[in-house]
Order: sequence, then C-alpha cells, then structure tokens
Amino acid sequence: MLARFTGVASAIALIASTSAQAAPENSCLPPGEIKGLVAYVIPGVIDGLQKKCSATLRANGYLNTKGRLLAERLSVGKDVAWPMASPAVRKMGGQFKGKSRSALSDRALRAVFDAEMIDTMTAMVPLSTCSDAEAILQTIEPLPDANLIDFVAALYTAASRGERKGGACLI
Amino acid sequence: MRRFAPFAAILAALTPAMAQAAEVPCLTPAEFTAVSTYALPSIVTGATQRCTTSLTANAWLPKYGAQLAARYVRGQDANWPAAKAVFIKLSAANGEAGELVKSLPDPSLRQMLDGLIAGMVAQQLPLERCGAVDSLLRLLSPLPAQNTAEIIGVGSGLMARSGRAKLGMFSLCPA
Repeated sequence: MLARFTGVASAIALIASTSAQAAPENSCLPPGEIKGLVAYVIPGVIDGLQKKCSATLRANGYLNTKGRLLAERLSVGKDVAWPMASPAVRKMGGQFKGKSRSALSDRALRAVFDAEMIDTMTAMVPLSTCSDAEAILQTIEPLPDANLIDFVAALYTAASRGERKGGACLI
Repeated sequence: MRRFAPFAAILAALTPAMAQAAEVPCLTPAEFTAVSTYALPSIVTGATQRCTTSLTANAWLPKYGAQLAARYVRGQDANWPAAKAVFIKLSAANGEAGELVKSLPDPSLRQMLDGLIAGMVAQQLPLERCGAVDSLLRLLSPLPAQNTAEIIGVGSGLMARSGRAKLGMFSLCPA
C-alpha cells in the first residue's frame, strides 16, 4: 500500500496501516472518517516528518524552516476533527494494557493514539520519503486548510480504496 | 497510477500529434512540470467543455472553470520557453511535425498547441472521470499554476521511480 502514496499521504497511510493491523477484515473507512483522520493526524505527521528528516534535508529547506509553522497552523483543527477521526481509530482495533482499545474512553483512546502516532512516525517512516514529503508540503502549503486536508484525504482515498484494513470504503 | 488517475486521464488526452512517433523521448519530472504548467489553461478549458453537461448543477467546473483557465493563462508567457523546448524534444522524433514546430513563429505555434490540447481533452477525457477532475481542480484552484503542475511533476517522478514510467502517451525517464 505504501508504495502508492506520496510523501505526506505515505506517512498517514503508514500510521493507519500500522495501527490497523489488529483491525477486523473489511473494516473500511467512509469519507467522513478519512477526512477526520487526515485532519487529526496531519499536524503530527508534519511534525514527525520534520524531526525524522531534519538531518537528511537541507537546513534551509522548506521542512526545516517552515514545517513546524505549518504543523502549528493545521493543529488548530485537531479538536474539531477528533470526533470524526475517533470512529476510524476505534476500527483499527488492538489492545492497550490488556484492554481492547475500542473499550477505552474517548479521552484515553485519543491519548493512546497520539503516543502511538509519534512512535510510528519516529520508528517507521523511511528516510526515502523525506524529499518527496518536503516537495509536496511546500507545493500545497498555500492552500487553505480545508482544501489541503481534502486534497490529502483524496490521495489517501484513491490509493487505499478497497484495502481490506483501513482502506477507503468502496462507494 | 490510480492515485493520479484524473490527471492521467487529462494528460492522456494531452497528446499532440507530433508526439505520436514510434520513439517518443522520455521526459524528466522538470520537463513534465514545464509542459503541464503551460498546458493547464487549455486542459482546464477542455475539461470544462467536456464535463459541463455531465456534472451536477452545483459542480465547480461549470461555474469557475473559465475563471481558473484565465488565471492560469497569465503565467503562460513566463513558462513558454521551457515548454517549447519540451515540445521541440517531443516532436524531433517525428520528422514532419518536428520541422513544423521549429519553423512556426511562437504565436502561431502556441495558438496551434492551445487549440489542439483543449480540443483533445474536450474529446477524449472519459466522462466517468469528470467528477474526480471537478473535485481536484476545485481543491487545487487556490494554487498558482506552477504549484499544481509541480504536484503532477512530483507524482510523475514517483511513478518513474516505481517503474510505472508512463502517463498517457508520455514516457517518464527512470529516476
């Protein structure tokens, strides 16, 4: 699945696919949940990419100089996005301290997901995605937040449609 | 390639007759971006013509397509030299077309290309792609033409790296 994504979308896909490993088969995501998930994770994805890629990219390049500002700008929408993202996160299944994640309170689920997202970004995003991610982010940065999120969600939808776990539902 | 299917559908139609030679040279992502930037106004015009009747009443293209194409036109002059170099490269493999491209004055060549591109998109863009094209152009419309073309260029570069080095009739050079 990862090879079909570009930069930012690949990082989001990585989080979704890694998190969804314990999800039941055919646990697809409808458009609203994808949009919510993208809006919720994208600030963390950008921040994580910046940290992960910092040493491999030019010091005066976009991600090292403006990545954090873009992440901060987009993080304003996280609280609004969470109610749309949480059903998608619950579908990913899995355990936390011996307890089903889907049984966690909304607040606990969010905290667990936030921590996992950072771990996933730090450990698993390949350095080879850094320059593509930087190019894509720099190019779409002038978009209004809603357009930027919808565009990344459209990439995710197109590439993941039909995936049996965490992919976009066939509509 | 499915990821860029709407753009691919448009660009598959963006195939000047001069590129229909047996051996069309491959394009680098930068060359691809140059052609895309130049061609965007004609692509939008062609897509608007093609899709207007098949889209819903509240679709974006019928209302704003002409406006977007007009805005993109404003950046065409600056991009023309780079795009022309690519058109010459593409046409070189086809003797007659190659000579035609080199011999025409720029205004005539541009007029011919603009009409050709818009006409081919208007004829060949699959109607089932109109919804996706409408949505993508709406989302990306706030961007300058160069940025939209760069998104196509980055995507084409990624596909070249993953071995899917073809977008429509254009071959993309392996990275």
